Amino acid sequence: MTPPRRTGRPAPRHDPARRLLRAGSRLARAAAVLLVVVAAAVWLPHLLPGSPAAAALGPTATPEQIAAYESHLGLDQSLPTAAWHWLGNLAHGDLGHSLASGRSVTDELADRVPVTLELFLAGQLVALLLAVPLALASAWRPGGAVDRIATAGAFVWLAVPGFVLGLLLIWLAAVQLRVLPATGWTPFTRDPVQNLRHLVLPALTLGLTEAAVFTRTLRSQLLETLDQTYIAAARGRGMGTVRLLLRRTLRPSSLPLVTLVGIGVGTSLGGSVLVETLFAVPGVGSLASAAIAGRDFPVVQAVVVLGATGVVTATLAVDLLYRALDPRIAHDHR
Amino acid sequence: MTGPVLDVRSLDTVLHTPDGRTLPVLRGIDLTVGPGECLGVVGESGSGKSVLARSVLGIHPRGTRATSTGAVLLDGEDLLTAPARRRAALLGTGIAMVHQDPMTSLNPVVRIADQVTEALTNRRRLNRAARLRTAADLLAAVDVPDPARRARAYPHELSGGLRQRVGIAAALAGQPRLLLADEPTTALDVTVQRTVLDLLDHHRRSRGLATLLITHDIGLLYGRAARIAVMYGGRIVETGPTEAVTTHPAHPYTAALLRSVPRVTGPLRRTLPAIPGSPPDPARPTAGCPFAPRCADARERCNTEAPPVHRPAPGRSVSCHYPLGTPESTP
Amino acid sequence: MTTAEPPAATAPTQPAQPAAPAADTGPRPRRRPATGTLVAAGWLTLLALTVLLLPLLLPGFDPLHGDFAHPSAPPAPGHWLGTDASGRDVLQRTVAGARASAAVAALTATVGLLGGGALGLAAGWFRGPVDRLIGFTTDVLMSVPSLVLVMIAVSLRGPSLPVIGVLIGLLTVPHFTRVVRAVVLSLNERGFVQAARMLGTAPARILRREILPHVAPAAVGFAFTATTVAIVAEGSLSFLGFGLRPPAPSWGGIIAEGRTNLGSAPWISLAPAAVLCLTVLAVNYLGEQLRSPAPKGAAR
Repeated sequence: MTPPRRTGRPAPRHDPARRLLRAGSRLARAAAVLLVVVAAAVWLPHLLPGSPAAAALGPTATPEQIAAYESHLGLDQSLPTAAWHWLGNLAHGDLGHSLASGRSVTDELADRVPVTLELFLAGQLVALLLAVPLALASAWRPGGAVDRIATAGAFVWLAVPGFVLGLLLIWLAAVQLRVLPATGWTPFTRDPVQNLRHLVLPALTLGLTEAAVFTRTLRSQLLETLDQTYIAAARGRGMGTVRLLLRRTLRPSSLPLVTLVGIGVGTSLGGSVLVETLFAVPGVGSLASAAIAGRDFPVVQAVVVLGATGVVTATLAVDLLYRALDPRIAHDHR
Repeated sequence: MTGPVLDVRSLDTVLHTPDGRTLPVLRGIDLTVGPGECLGVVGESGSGKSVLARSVLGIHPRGTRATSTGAVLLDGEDLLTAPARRRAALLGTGIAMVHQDPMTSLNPVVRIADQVTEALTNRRRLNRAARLRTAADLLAAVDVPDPARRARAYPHELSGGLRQRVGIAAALAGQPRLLLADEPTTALDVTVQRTVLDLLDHHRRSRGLATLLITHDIGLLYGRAARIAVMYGGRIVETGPTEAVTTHPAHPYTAALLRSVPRVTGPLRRTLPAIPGSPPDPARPTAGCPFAPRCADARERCNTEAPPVHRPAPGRSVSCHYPLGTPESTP
Repeated sequence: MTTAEPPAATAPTQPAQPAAPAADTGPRPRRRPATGTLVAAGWLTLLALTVLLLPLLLPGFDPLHGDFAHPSAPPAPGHWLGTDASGRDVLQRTVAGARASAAVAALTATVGLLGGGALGLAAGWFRGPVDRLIGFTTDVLMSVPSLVLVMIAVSLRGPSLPVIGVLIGLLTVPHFTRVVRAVVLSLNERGFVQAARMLGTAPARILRREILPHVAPAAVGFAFTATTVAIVAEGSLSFLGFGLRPPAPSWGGIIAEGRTNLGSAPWISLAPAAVLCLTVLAVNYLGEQLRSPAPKGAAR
């Protein structure tokens, strides 16, 4: 922890050349990570014991058919060549064709990514709408009734895995109360109302667990901020509680939350697999699940690389954002 | 308006710790500050001087529960018995505080203009243009160069000295009657200290602002505070005109404090005279004089009986059994 | 949604914010355990005892045996948690499923502690290129959604407890590595490690005497988190059908089976779900208590 400065000179402006270099190196590293992931994805079919071609085509396959299958999948090439080809195809927007449906993987993804995105955004919205007021109320009166209930509640909540939560919600809303459909999906463009009805339970499943994590993180950050002199100074100028909380306390405390949401983008793929399978939502997650079970390699490869790209991009963005906001908060949150 | 702006009578403040104990941190505080007057409050860390400021303002750090009894009269109105709404209305407009550390007393993600005008915007709406204009005016009044640009800036773009001026401007924005300056220059370079204090002086005179200048450095008060109050162990041990108190201190603590200030002129001293011992623990209040354990002149009575308040001269008071310079002090 | 991601890992990859618990982990004073700790430990003990002893004590313990005379029977004496659609006793199946979860959890914790511990120590001790390489590898591991990864592995190599356990363990290695590395780095700055190095003390000795005592509590604390991650991950996997093949019981599988009867016989899913949640809660609670013995609900 750096000792508090005496009259400081203003915060040094970061040398733009150095900033560029740092950003560049981080980009390069991210690209390297993705390259490794691509290589691993391309190599996946080799992990199958025995010949993947034989497994896919069955015992009646002729050697010619097996050879054709293998060359189609690029299984006869060396790893670097195969990876290079894969990337080359990607540059042309060609991710191969699904072994199950025959459709181009790009088309499949184009259909499903918006659905997963909608689900993700709805989940984050639920989480924020719940977490922000709860965290504010908790931090304002730490140890008070709201705080203790919220803290204990969040703790218990985190022990409930996603699929159990989803099941519970289905049981409550669809089976017992019969207000919402248990599974299924209607695209927003076709019927907005039905779409929203289908959205509620999956979004709640995603969002409620996130809310618990958000609340804990935000609360602890708010507590730290509320201890700062500048909050006492604002109070000393007559600022009311609500305005103080919403307009002077939230923003300095929101950095870890931004980090969380950003990371959430990256990890949303894993979460979406469960939720989409549970609620029969046709998104990327359920596609991945079916493809993995069916050993539909082109789809699996595409999904894995897509997922990794999401994580890497989100992490990069969060990190750059953090550094952009960093100088303003430099002396406080260390 | 005649009469003192701030009149504190028998103020006791007690802190409630999370594990249920009560700590008396202020005892029997009496002081007055008149319009346009500067009262210097000097004491070491732990003497209660900051708690005093916060008790007058009515805002304590979060997590601290404090109860104050006695009377704190602002222009004759007792703040301690006033309803919460009335107290809140006075924050920034009747009383304002300048904080110690300019690095932490400004919100890092809020523009200077928005913070400086808070005392006003908390009461009525000001659109963005009006805020910027008002802020620029307020900043100009505290000699911030290029005030319009600075108003649009964020705190981290300003140096410590400038930030402290912003703090002063923010305190003055609501045209308060009383200004509490809690160690306003402690965190600043020596060269900047003087300009900031001069600034406070200027505004005090031009606005008739009653100022309570709290510091641990008695040297700052020469020529700036007309009167001085010395605090120790949560009590005021001596008050009086600065000149008189510093040349002829009546309380042993004041004398020791003055002795420990290194001087550029005068004979060369090899060792700095310090006061042996450490400040009293508020968790263990004594019945006698709080300074007795460290006082060179302490006698039997000092440990058992609370010292009375003597008034050796008009405008001077001292809380001691054996004040210096009086017949009682010679054994 | 944090299914297979440890809830503690919420920081960007760059070490601007290590996700480690407090690095200052000296010996803790002994205190009488609070009620919560006793309850949590009690539940886990009860679970362990039931898992170990029920098969031995109960005659005819057979989680695969379907009592077709009483399918989908609600909880009652004789079938304390009811029976499922095939008449199998839910309690027995839950107990059997606990064994799978425990095995996966144990494997995960072991792999994570050993692998992550070693990597973290290496990264923090050697720093420089070794650190960067390890950091790169953990970045790669963390960038692929872990659930998907395990699903792929199971799909390619078949579902078996060792595969699942080791793989989930491997996926916790990056997080263990970060925790351990953060502790080691902070210790490096604390002077006594530098002093020992300067005195020429053998690295192995420094590791054993100065570093491990500080790393161990942090790593063990994280092992609790890793355990709950393992339990939840195993549950999620078997729920999706990528876990142990039915009829071998596992918590996720049992819960999934009960899904079709959610309306008519909710206990089939909800009873094992409740057991799962309580177990995760107990482990989390104990892990939390280990990290910070301060009473919960205090103002911070």
